[in-house]
Amino acid sequence: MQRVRAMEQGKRSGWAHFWLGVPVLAFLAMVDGAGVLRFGRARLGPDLVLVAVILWAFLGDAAAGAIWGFLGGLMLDTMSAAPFATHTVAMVAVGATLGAARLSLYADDQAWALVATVVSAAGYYALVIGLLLLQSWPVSLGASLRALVLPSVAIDAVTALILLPVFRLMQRRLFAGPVAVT
Amino acid sequence: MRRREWLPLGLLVLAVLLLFSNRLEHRFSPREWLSRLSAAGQAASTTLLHNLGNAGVFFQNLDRLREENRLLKSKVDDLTVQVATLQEVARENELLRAEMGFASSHSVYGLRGADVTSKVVGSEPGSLIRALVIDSGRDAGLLPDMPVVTGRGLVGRVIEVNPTSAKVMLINDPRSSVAALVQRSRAAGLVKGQVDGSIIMDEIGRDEDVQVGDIVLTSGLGEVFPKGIVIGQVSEVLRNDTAMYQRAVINPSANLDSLEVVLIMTNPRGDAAGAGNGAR
Repeated sequence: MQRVRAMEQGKRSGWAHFWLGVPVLAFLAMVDGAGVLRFGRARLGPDLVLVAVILWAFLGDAAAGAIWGFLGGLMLDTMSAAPFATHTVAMVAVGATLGAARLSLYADDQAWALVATVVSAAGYYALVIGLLLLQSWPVSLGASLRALVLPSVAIDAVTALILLPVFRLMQRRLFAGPVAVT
Repeated sequence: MRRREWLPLGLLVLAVLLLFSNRLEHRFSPREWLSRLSAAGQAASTTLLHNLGNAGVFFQNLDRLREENRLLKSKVDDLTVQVATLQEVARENELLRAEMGFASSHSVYGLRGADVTSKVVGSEPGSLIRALVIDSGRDAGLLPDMPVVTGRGLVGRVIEVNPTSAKVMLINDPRSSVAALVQRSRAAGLVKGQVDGSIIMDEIGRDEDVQVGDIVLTSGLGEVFPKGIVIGQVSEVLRNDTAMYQRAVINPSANLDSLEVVLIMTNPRGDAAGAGNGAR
């Protein structure tokens, strides 16, 4: 009951998510694009924008996840050499699906956050690779999975655990409860 | 159904429509509009983040830097004499080049029209694709497929041009393929980027002579890269008795992980028609 009341208090319009998402995701996209957190020959590192979208969808609902997915994807697409909107489509799909699962009830449970991140990040990579293949980009599935996708998902999972308290605090301070969009 | 329940579906449809906008490149290009907005911010943030990183390294290594500073000061004295000598040589060289009508701004690539110098302002935000964002674009005369180099060797080629920025596909991107030859034995092959960021020279005839340490150059076959640009050095030769071809792992001569400034060859064939492409 208390949880439901908090949810009611926490309702905000989609614009609140939009205006919060613009600076947060722009900052993370700039860090992603500067390449300062990518190491080694394969340039592996945390996908900060993806992790932010996943966490916001995990703490919120489908609309919150979709709005952040759209913003984050658009920012990555501006910097990326991939066909435009590839990241946007994948992030909206992942954000909306994860948000629709209504896992915000488990916002305090790190294990759920970890599972949500691993599944969502893997889904995101599957969608991006699928979209690239559909647009005739040569992607070696087996090699990409071994050398890039699995390590990236693992790094993203660790990053999500580190960032989860920050996003939970942000969500509780600004939305006074599990995130919901009216 | 309330508005918020339609929102995810609406955004997904909008994203898919944007994906299809790639097919209408010349009539409607949202990426070009957004790149105008983001290019300046990306350049500023990349500089800031790199400077912050450098500041951290500075404080960590203060003692080592003091010692290094002392050594460098003594080196400066030695080098001052050498510089004076080399300035004389450079002056003489300049005169000779002018006499011979050489384009002299870049000693190695000047003849091939490497006349646009660009700062690297960003990199691909992910690991599936290996690309860079540079701060020159259509306004500086850049066009898709122009070769990109540094003083040390080949970097890649321009794949997307916006008014004030461009994207460069690196030679270690899995889509990259460059016709190449081994300098010593003239063995030909294709230098291809790999998923893990390494570079392999593939399709070298099984009887060709390739050894560790050999220098690999562009062969000039194909339309994009002119002949003779250094790609790298062979670090391993992969032979298989049953295969028709042998392969070689290449260590790129340009440091693809930490590029700051690159040169774009606006007239790689050195022809008069292409010379007008370079605007600065």
